[in-house]
Amino acid sequence: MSKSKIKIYCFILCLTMIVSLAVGCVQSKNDGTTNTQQTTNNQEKTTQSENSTPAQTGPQRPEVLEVTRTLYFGDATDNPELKEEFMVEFEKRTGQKLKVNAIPRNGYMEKVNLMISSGELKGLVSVFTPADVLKAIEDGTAEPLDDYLKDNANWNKFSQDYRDSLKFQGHIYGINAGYSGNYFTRAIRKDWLDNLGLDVPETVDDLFEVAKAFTENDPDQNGQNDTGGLTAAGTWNLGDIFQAFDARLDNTSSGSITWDPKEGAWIDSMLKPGMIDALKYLKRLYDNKYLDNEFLTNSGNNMREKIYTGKYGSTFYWAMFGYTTCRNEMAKTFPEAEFVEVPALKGTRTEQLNHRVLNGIVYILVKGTKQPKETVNAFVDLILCDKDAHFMSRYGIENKTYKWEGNTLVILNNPETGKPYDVPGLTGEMPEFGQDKYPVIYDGTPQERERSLNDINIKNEMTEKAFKEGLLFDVPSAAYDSPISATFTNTSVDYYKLYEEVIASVVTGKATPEEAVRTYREKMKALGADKILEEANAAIGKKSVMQY
Amino acid sequence: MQKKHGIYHIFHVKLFKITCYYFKCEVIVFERKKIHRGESIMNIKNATAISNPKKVKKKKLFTKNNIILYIMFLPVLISYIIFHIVPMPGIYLAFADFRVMGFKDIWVGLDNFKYIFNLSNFWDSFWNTWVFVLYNYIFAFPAPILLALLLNELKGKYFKKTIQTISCLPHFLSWVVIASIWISILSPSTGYVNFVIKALGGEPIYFLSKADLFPALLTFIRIWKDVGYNAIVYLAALSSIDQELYEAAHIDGAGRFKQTIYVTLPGIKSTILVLFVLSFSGILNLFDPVYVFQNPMIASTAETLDTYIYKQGVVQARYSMATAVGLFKSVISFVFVILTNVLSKYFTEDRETILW
Repeated sequence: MSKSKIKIYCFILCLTMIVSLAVGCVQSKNDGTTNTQQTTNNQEKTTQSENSTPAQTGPQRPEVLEVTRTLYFGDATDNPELKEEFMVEFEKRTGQKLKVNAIPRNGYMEKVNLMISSGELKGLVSVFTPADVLKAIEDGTAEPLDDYLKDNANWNKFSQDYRDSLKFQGHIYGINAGYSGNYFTRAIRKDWLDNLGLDVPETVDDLFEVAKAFTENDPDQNGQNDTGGLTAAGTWNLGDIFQAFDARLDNTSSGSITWDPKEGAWIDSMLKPGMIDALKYLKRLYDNKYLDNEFLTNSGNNMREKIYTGKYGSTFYWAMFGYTTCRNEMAKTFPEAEFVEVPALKGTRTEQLNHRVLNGIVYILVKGTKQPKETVNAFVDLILCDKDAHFMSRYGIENKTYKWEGNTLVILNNPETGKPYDVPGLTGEMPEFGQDKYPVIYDGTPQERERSLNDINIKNEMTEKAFKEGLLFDVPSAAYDSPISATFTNTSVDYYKLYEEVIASVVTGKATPEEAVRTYREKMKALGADKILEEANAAIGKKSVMQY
Repeated sequence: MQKKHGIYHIFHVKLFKITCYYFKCEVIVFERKKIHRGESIMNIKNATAISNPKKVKKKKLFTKNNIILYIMFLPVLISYIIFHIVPMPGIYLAFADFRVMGFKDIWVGLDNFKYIFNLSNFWDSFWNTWVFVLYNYIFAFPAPILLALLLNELKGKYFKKTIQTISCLPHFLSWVVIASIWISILSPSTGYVNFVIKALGGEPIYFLSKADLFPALLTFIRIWKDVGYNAIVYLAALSSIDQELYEAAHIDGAGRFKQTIYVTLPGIKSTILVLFVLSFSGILNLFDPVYVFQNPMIASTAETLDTYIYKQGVVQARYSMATAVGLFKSVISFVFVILTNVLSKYFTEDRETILW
């Protein structure tokens, strides 16, 4: 190519880039203008509709109810049309303009923080745990809600435990959207157990035998050595094993600092004798390959996929994962797949093993939100307490993504995918709108729907039985997830790393359980972790019972 | 911490590289012509300066010939000003306490630096980073030179182009995609590598669980990703070497190896030096490649300064702390660039530094 031609091409390329840059800037400026105009128009419409609807003469509503959430109709880029349509439909049905900011699940908290920092994000923002609320208080991001909610009749009808669930330093700093409770169970391939003539495991020793048989005895009877026992993504899906050894992990099974129902206090299970036994058990599973050797590098997706593809026979995951999700996912490829779920495994500890978490989606109100009182009250009155708005916020657009059949809510299938629609999930289940009054089922053939209805009974019976046998307990809101401690907030990165190091060093044989725990103790002590337990226990009026 | 972001980063880096490459080609073509005319840069400079000093002064900044080059440089310049010069006052955050909702304290002096230096894992991740740097300079830096030399020796034009294209392809994949590919390839249960190992009668190796192996493994993957792309500059430099020198060397009895040692390498020495010195500007930047491969089993070696401070600073919204680390890294890089630039004069024939 001649020099002059190269010059011409490069010139055109540069010119295109400059022009596109300029066009891009103008475009985004225009978009902003359009949005503002649209907002103004919508606000006018909202005001008009409010003026013309008698139902809106009660408490004042915000011009826009802004809510930020991850996994709104799937992840941030999923179902864009549904996302838009829902907001329009919500306004039509309630007269309240809704704006939902969908932020990707990956790196959610840092994106939220950056957006708040740049002033882009206002309104109610969901965070993951109460510890995130505490962090938001320290950062000055969250606003106390007491004054805004004190005259709200709906709010005052809620139980004291619910209202205080996100109370810190004497003030309410968050709203729990959902308060019905969920827990993990061990899902096990029932058809594999039957093929091998094994009983449903009740203890950790039974589980070991099941894992061994699943790995060595060809449970799917295909004549190949292609199955494994347990799979997991980190220790997230091994919580029941630690519980059985009286070394329970935290609520997400990703750390050892946890609230213990026996002590009624915050403890570090790493300091309990049972932890050594639990680690030895884990090592045995790992060495014999009864536990997926990639469990520390698996993502949640990998873990689920290994179950769906029939490679592994058991994991510890959300209740009903086996009965519903796995069944639906495996219906075509492994129609014979049947699951059984075990709420807790017994070991050296036999009661108060597994925990149920009542908390739903945690929202904070970002400081500097316009009409803060109106925003918070609209959220409580509509999304938490108004039946229509509540179910819309949970399941989407009526007669498109869900429909009512009497008191039963049916989640419809997306004709494009043949699978149930993704839902907005702006709130979890409130007790007033629980499954006992409004059962939620998936659409399908009459048999499938019958089965779906039956699933609700199965879960209710399983939960009731587990509570009756003393296997399950409810975690008090103040003891949910991470300890409420400023020291913990500042050292959490190092703490989680130390915890993971213990697990990794033991399973890979770099250290014995005793050595790994000793190193952990020393490093935690150097980190000032005694203060974590002191502060967390002080927050619930207790004294620390452990020291590093 | 200055974290480079997706589209912008790709845009400015790619454009910069394309422009540099184009300029390089221009210079090469220009120098070739001079060589053909029997001139040298020094001769031209001296001759012009001595014979007609006024003419030099009168030389216009914008001419019909170079205006197009300035226009081509404009997007790079604009992006550099917007994204590198304008945010510079942000360095101030390193000396303040800036939280999500704004300044908590507008001046804290060196407190942020003291805090990070006292973090328990800071120094571990700092030294881990240097291990990667060391591996990088021992293995990754010479790799594209070697590839360029090998490609230069190939006779078949199409074969050479095919190899060049294939080796360039991984460069255009993001680290996230690359991590997925390599995690699958190295998986002990489903990976191809272990499939071969098992077929040969060996025991599967869980590569990504071996902390000691990780720096070497990541360096290998980094070489795989960038070797073809980085070789382009060296290939361009190789094409500027006068073929007559090879003929002369051949007549003098030099074989292929000696021609490489005494003709090829000296011919591209200045390019190697420039790239070597410039490579120090981002010496401690190591986020994406490490972050995407991190797992608890290799945490002891797979935590670099960037990933650690990302978790401590960015995720925890301690922006001042993150900025302090960014500044700390920049100072180290700056010192290294200055040092290597000064030292570079011992490797040039005219005993002048390579950059300024």
